[in-house]
Amino acid sequence: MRLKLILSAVLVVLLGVVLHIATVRGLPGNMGDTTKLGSLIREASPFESSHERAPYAEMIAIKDNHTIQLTKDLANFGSPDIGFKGTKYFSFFPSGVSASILPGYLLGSRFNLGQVSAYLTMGLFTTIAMLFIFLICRDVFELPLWAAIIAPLTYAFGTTAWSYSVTIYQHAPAAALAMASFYSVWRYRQKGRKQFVWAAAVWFIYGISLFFDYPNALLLLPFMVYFLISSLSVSMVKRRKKVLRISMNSAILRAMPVFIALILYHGYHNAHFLGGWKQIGNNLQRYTVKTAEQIRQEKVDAKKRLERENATKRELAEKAGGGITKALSEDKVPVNAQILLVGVDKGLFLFSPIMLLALLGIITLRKKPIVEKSILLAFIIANVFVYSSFGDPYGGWAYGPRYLIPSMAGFSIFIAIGLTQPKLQILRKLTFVILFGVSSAIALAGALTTNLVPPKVEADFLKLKYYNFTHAFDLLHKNVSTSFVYNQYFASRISLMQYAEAIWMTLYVLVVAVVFIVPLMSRETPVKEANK
Amino acid sequence: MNINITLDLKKITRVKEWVEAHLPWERVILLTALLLAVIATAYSFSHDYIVMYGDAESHLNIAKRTINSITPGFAQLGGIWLPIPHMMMVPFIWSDFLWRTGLAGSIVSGFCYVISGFYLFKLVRLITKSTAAATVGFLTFALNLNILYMQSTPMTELPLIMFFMLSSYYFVRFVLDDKRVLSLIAAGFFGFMATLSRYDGWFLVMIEAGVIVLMYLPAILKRNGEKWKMFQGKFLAFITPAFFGMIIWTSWDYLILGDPFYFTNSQFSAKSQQSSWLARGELPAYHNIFQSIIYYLVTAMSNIGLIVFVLSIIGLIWYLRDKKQQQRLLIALVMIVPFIFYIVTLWLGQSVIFIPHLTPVSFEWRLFNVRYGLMAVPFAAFFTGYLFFRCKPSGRALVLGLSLAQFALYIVGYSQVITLADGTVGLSHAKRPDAEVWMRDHYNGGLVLMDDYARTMSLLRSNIPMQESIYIGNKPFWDESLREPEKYATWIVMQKDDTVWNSIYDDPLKQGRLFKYFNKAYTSPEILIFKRIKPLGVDEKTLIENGRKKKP
Repeated sequence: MRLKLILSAVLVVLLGVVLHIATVRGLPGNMGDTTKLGSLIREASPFESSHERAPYAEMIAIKDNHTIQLTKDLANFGSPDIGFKGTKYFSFFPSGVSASILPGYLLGSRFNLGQVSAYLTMGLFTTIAMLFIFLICRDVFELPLWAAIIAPLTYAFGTTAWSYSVTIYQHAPAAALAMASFYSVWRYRQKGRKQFVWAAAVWFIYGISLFFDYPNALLLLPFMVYFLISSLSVSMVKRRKKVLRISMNSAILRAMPVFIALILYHGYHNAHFLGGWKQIGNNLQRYTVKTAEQIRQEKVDAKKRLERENATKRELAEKAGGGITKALSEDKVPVNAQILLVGVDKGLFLFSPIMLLALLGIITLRKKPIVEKSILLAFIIANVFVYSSFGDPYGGWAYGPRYLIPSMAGFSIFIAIGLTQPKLQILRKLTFVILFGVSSAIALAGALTTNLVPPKVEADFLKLKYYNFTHAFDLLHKNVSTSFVYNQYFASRISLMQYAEAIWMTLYVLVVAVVFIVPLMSRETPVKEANK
Repeated sequence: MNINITLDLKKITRVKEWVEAHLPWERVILLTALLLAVIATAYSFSHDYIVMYGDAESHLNIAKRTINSITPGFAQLGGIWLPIPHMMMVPFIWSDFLWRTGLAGSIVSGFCYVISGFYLFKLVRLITKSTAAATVGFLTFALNLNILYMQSTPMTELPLIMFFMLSSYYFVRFVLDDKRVLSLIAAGFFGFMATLSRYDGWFLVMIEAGVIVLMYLPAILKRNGEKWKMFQGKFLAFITPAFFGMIIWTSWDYLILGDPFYFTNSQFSAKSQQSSWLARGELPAYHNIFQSIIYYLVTAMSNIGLIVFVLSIIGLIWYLRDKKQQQRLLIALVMIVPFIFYIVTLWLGQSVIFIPHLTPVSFEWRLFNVRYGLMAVPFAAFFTGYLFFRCKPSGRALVLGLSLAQFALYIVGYSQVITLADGTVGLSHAKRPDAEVWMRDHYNGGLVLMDDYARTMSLLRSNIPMQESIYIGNKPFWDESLREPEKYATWIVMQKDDTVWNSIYDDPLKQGRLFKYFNKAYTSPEILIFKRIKPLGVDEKTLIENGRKKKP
């Protein structure tokens, strides 16, 4: 049994590594010459978005100058996601992504593949997330092996998370840290000998997550609540008299210095580079340099200006007051949640219809409301809630709802739970394979081509015909790819569509086999989870 | 290694028993509500939020005119806004201080808030038999910052909510036990008060009457037997008081203003105002049921708070599925009356809501009338209380925690007090032109001719005594002054395109007359103020007496 488990985990990791290598975005060479980087800014390149360029520029600065302060060339390259303070330039994003891709860059640069291996780090994060999803399914929910394999594959290759695992965004690390956090709390809850280690891991993950993205503090909050309630116990004790005993496991407090140390370091880092412990890159004044993207952005801004001029003075006063339109506000939730979940340009269920099946797992909460399911659901709700409160739910030009990538990991677990329910299981599995086919095709198209898909409102203004995944399929037909492996080794032999078909078929056959054949080889009862 | 706290169970039980046996829970609820009302009103007073709404001042002025005006009396109540909220202010409006600060209205709304909270508590307890659940329902209502703000203003929402709660409470008592005829009559009486508070009340009593019909439907279809007789008696016992308000009001409009439906047909009605939005293509919910539903749901959610809104929807679903609850469909129907009323009126174009979540950015205004969603707060509080009742202890902790989290989100500013935003920066806000500051500094007595409907300037803030103003409701002073501006007025205040401007300033003959007797004392692009050159030849009192004698 243990061997089966290890082999399954190896299969998950192997698939993660292979498929991410097959689709990773990149160009040959180390891409470290700061004067030449600017020429690489174009659609369907590894540097198509400033969201990729800014952390990459910061990584180069760390490598070359041992500082996060950017040179003018690097600032120009990373703009407009660059801020400045006096004559100093910094990336808008926390340094976690840049720092984490540096080892990959250094390793790859020995083989003249610095940029590619730096980008592969994100695939590694997703593979780590896959491993934790596998462990959560097995250990926490006691799902059968086939379902525990399906969940990570659904997350990594059945959703648009794929597009963000082959380039450098903060979402793949965020999802990996979230899953690691959930699993660590669960292990801590089991009260083994290593309880302190798991407590320290939970605090460490929470602290380190802030180095990748500040909203992670809110996203991981449900797991921290789970951590807290796992540390508390209320019991009735009968000694001389009946007493109510409220106990708190001291490991939660003893391990806390790990978090405090990280936060202190974060504060020191901000104070050292940005001039104040509370100062973050995103608060700096934006540095802009005219590039094709900026010109396009200016057109969008012009439209916004026009709209604003149409609004009354009172409306402007209202905006200046910051009440309605401040960065994080409940007022935005209804519209933004709709954009993120069902919007025609970014909707989760449009880009990844497989996610609809998560409802099958979520409704099991009604009959078996175990705390872990509730916490996982709370995590998803927190994710949707936080990003629905943001001014820009689209995440700029993006492929699918990139802010919901951590949720996709949670949804995938619920999908696996839903699939293992005995009622109408064949129908559930058939629906799954059909929806997985569609979702993985959409995900793969994005991963191989571009993430630069405008929201509909911008596409309409710019008179672009595309605002969702159809653009990726257009590029697929036109042989326009960002995939390093395809461009380097296959472009001269097969079309991009053939390459995509080969990857998709391999993945699909594997998934169908796992769903229908693996259960036949296993002696496990279909739903151990239901007995929990 | 654990950190332990131990509590003697006997002591805990003793405290619990003492609380259950000795704590006057209803008094605690009343006192808590009173305390919250006082704190919230003090806050609004200190921040000058009480009379932020343009309508708030109008409500105060209507009440004031019934006792302090050159033509005082109940005719000043007018024919558009329903009279009860204004009549409730009368005992306090005598005081100029309470009138000018708006506190006369705050006292009324605060009283209504306390009673509403108390009866919400009683209603949840009636349904659940749980004091804890009733307390959660009460807290959900009482700690809602939109409710707390509006209860500090002279607006009419809180009086309606109070009568809605009172009528619903007694009506639910009757629905649960149809032998309680006194409860039915009480429901009818408070329904009557609701129908004379806001038009929403008309819908409430109609739905309640419909519920009685549904209760006795089999007997009605048979039209014989004991039940049929019971129905007839009870139906009459309810509708006689409940529908009387509507009859009174339409009769009033007919007798005083010549049209029983003056409130919906006149140029001052909401319908007329909405027609201008419609002409501009800015009435998005008009004849669009989907938009009507979405607009009201989102407005309700904004008033309730997202978390509590979701909790209450879950509570509603659980309630409807609870087979132990007798007559649950009928009771739920009464609780959702505000939703039905506003969705229907939005669809008909009788009301309009602009809310930034939904209103297109191209619209001139994107925040208006969001306070309509306030009527859904009792619904949310009721079903949140019910949800708490249905949950297990851990679930109860979650419901309570989430309800308090909602309050915290309001405090930190994540959830916006949208009714305050509408009053401060929305279209509902009262204008504060410089002219009223000038008037406050320069007014030194004498009658002031001004178009009150156009809200040219605030009487409250310009320090003009109510009995020194001439507005459209002062017959014959108003009509005569528009013909002969110099006849009564010492001051004439006009705003571009208001009635005074159009009648006097735009008419060359009257303009000549105006400049013969008055000097232009204040000029701004929108507002002009004229002051009489020579004083009136007669004593003002005599002049007013003579005018009153001419009154038809």
